[in-house]
Amino acid sequence: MALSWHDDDSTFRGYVFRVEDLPAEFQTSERWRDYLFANTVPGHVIDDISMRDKAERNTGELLEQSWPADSQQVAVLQRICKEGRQGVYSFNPDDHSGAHNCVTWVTSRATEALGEVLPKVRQGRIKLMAEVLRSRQNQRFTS
Amino acid sequence: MSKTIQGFREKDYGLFIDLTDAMSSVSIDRKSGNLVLQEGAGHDRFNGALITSDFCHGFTLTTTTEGTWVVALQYGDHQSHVLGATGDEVGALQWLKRAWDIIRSNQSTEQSTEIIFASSPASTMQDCLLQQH
Repeated sequence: MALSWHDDDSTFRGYVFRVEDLPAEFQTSERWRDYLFANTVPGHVIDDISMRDKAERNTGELLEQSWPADSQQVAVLQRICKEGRQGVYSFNPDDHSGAHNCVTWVTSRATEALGEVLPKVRQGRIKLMAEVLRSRQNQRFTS
Repeated sequence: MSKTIQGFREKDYGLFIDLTDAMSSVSIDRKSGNLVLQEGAGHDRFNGALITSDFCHGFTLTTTTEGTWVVALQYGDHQSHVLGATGDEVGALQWLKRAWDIIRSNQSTEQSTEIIFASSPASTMQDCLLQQH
């Protein structure tokens, strides 16, 4: 999940973990999840070029929701979504105070800048957030 | 689930690999040389995983008995992660060389090894040589 805003340019921000911050025995595709379900590692805000690419290609695979934002709100987003190390990352963020995964990070940043535009979902599960976004899209299409 | 590469792409801000079931599964940021894996669901896949340029040690491109090519990332302490399989040897080689140039130019510490890509259709895993700088 990513957050983007559009003024003179388009900015995409995502929240990820660094594989090198996992203990060596968990730095494999088979074991990384095990560590992040029970522990935290430093989180990192990135220029999310993967999401930018998907958005530009407009393949229909993205679930999107957009809100109007004034210049002050964009300034807040720019301030709180700076690239670099930020907070701690976990797959069970509800169990670790202050921790985020990509879903809870986007929700918290959007809330800080725009108000409560997205609901919190249990443990920041992407499937639960996808259900929210999908239902909102369906409402738009049917209204 | 096996990872089949649909294509290799470049844009002005990054390089990408698409899997048949996960677009932009691999992205490399030209500015930082960092690599992000968003490979979708599966036990052999990373998601939301950032591998910094300093943590990358190179790529391997190896043949299978079926004649396809397996692209893998070498990272960390002798770790290897399969990015996908392709029948496009030339496209893979071109993309990997450009990707490695970007990664290497962003590394703050000189890596001790460099991947030499296997290019013979008859090559095997052993043909992927690690050459000392």
